[in-house]
Amino acid sequence: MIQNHKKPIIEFDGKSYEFAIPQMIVLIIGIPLLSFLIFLSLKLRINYWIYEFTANQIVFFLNSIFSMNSYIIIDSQHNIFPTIFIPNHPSEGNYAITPNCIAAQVFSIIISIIICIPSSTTSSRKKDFMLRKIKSLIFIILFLYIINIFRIVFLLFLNYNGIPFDFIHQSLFVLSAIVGALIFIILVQKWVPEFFFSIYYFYYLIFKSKKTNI
Amino acid sequence: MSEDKIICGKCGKKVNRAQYCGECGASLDKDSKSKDIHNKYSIPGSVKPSKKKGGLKLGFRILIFFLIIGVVNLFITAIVMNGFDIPGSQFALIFFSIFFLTLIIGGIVWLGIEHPGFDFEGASACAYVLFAIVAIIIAIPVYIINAIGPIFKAQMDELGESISNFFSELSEGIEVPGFEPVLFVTLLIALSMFIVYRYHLKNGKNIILK
Repeated sequence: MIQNHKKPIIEFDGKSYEFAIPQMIVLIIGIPLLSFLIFLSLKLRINYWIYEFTANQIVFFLNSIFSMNSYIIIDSQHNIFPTIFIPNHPSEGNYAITPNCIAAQVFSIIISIIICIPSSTTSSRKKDFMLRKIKSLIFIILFLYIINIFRIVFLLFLNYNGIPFDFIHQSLFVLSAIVGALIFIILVQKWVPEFFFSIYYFYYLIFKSKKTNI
Repeated sequence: MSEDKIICGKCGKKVNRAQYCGECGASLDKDSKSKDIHNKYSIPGSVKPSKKKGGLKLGFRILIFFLIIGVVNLFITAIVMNGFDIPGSQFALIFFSIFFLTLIIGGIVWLGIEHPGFDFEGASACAYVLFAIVAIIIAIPVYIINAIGPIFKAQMDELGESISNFFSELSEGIEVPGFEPVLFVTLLIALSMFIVYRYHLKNGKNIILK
């Protein structure tokens, strides 16, 4: 149905955007599929280095900023996630670094969105598209990684100081999710606005086809 | 052949006669509302609007938004640190209630200050609006719920239980991911829709059919 229509071109800030239908299909199907696969791959034993790396960073900041003398317990024999141990803790003081802790779902969604963003078929925005994509991927991951590290650092520190774990967990979850989503949207809009234009383009195609069918 | 080619006004290269330049993507349509129209018809010596100024203003707004989020979060956390018992599961509800209330009040105050005729009358009008928000949107529903609640307590409990059962039956066997990804994705969708709608408002008439 869509193929019979004339192809729309979106003009914004003096630049034109046009997308191919297969790219749109990849965007819609690719994001959930790819994010699911990335999430599964993050749970594999071969990727446990990510958890250990994150735990190392957290312990470094806990010890250097708050002098908490924490350390990591790693079991190389079994499939057990690394654990951070804080001595003299009011409760047990053991914290396992799981996929939820490293925000595996969020990173899977972000990576799959950026990978699946379609490029405009007009040459003006096609030239440096890959470069912009790689740049946005690196910076967004870096920003969100830093936010997540400090989320866990403050979570452990505040819990150590007597604030209930459930409450501070929720509090920092909300804060990091809002800040993370805003940073993601700002950087994507700055470097790869094709994401939003492709959604608008898709909406326009559906809207036009429906209008002509009636 | 040469008649089919025209020179692009933006990059200066010879390109095929079309609505857009194949090299730089600029509009070749003389009647189109492109950015170059300002250059063509601008008065010599007139001051062009600075891009940098707008960018800084936007950055400032974003910073204020981040600050509001941080302050609201810290405020609720500080309440808990001082012994006020808020259940962890209700944090999101409390946070978003205070957050949106802060945004509405901040927005009204901002609008009032930005208005050129802002004076004592304007300030008092602002205060009335804020009072109306607090009284009508928050205080009256809370008062009614508190007043009616004990009378219909049994019915309310039954209704709450049936709603809870409905959702638990609906989600039975489905693994619900943690709170953060759900909130993150919801925010992403909401913000994306907002940006796409902004594009639509700005650009709705500029879609050209090829």
